[in-house]
Amino acid sequence: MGALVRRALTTSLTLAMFLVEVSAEAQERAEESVDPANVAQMGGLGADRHVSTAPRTKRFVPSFTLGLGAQQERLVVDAGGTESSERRGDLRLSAAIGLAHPVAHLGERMAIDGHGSVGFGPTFHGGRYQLPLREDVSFAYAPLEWLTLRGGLGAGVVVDLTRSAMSYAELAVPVGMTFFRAVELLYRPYLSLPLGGEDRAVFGGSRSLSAGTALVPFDLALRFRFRALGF
Amino acid sequence: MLGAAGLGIAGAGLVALPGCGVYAAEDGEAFAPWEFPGGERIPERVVARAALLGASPHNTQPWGLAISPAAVELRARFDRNLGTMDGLRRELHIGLGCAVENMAIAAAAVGRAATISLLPDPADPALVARVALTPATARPSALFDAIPHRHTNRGPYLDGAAATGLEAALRALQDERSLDVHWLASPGERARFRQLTIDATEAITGDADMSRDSDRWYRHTAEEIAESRDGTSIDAAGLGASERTFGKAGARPSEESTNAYWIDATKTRGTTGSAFAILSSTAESTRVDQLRVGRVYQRMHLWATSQGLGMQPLNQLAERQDREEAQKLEPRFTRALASFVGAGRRAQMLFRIGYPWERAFASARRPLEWVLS
Repeated sequence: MGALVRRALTTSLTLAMFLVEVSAEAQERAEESVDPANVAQMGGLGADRHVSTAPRTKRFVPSFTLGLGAQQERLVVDAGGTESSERRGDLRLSAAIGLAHPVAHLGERMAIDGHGSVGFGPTFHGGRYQLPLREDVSFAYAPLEWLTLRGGLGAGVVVDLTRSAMSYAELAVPVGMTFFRAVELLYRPYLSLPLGGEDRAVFGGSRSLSAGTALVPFDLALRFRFRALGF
Repeated sequence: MLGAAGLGIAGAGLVALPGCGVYAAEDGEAFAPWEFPGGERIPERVVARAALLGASPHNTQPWGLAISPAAVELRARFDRNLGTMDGLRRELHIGLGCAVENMAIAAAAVGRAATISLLPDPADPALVARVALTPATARPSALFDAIPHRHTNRGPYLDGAAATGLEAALRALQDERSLDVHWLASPGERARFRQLTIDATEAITGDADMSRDSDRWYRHTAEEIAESRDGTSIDAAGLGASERTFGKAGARPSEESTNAYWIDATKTRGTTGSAFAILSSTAESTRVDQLRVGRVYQRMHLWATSQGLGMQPLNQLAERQDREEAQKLEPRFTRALASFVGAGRRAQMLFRIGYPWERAFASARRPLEWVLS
């Protein structure tokens, strides 16, 4: 992979590690301030917030996510100073492993949670393989014992393993709900920002194929949180 | 059309799934001839191998070759014709002309002056060309370099206006006095040509004989491709990766579903691009004219390849024109073509040109050993 991808990977990993570190510190502070009599206050909703008889809340919960979404590509031809361009959509499929972690505790039923993940999957039309690296931070509210509603912000990098110049960054607005703290449905519209482009000379000028700068409304995920594997 | 369709899949992406019928694109001996010129050192054999990589209708490769110390002869294989899809054998001869052009370009690049005689023996119509070769200074060219990279691109093109100078550049490649280039680049011309091509495609698929003869050249499995090394395939159909993968995993599509796919492709990606063009001859439409059309088309396609442009034959209108003549049908498409090329001329070869989204995959080729006589 080229320097661009290495840079994207490094940035993404640094961001994920930073968020995990921040959230861990936040969790530690929350635990220090919590009333020992009320273990329900310990930990974020995303990790393992729940009225529990467990002596200690699991802060980090592994997850597995299946994603189906859209992405955009853009072809631009600049021929003799006249620019023509077209966009097209493609579907992307991914399977990701991740780690849910607390960011901040906001009360009995509310928290700010984080979730970092790394995935792998193909695009339908292009047939290219991608490595999505994502970190979402969401406000979580549990109106019911078995239901948690979520909404937040996310950042990510989708590294195209087949053609690195087609990689792009994501700024997402994830919203969703978690059932029984185990099964989660997420809708994650995002802004796609290209990280490169395939450029080459063609008759009359140049041609560039890249991910599109676009608001992509279609992205769904089904996530399983494995509390039993938490730590 | 030269190289119609078929259902498609593969290549750049999704993995081949052994046991599911899915196979990788451009993989195996069927695609070895595209490694050109490879390690070939004998000029006459390089010239002959270049012929194998010419365009041909439905990738029928209707040629045989004979190599002698000072010449390469190209012979027509009339048994490798498209039947009612090419009832007048116009496309067969255009395909042979494409092979001749590749031979001429290759000869110059490997240090041979080529003297080309088209149909040199009136008593032997199968002897299409004799290319006499004499030592000369090697003249490498961009067209020669493009020979192994030229593939019909049936995928989507940028549907924009033609670049300034494109028409002139193509016209400059046409040096036959009996031929003409008709350039259709205005929105109105493109819309009309597109609709007529869709109509002609529907007419072909509605003609049982033409539909059957077209479908006969479709190769679905890796085994069929390896065995025949000709015909149309999923990979060369300009489809996306998932369609190619699922298409290969499935059973051979019926003639009906292949026709439906072809119509759909013609309505969508198959008629995108910067412009359509028609190569015409005089109304006599001689075999030599058709061979010359093939030479010009091949030259244009090689040049387009060297310029990052895609090309695809769209001969449905001409195929219906021939069918109308052969069957004495109402000359609906004959009149439509005449409106483009003018009275007194005959449309021979129709194609689109533009900036493609993706590169095209190669089609299978028969090796030199199979075509030598």
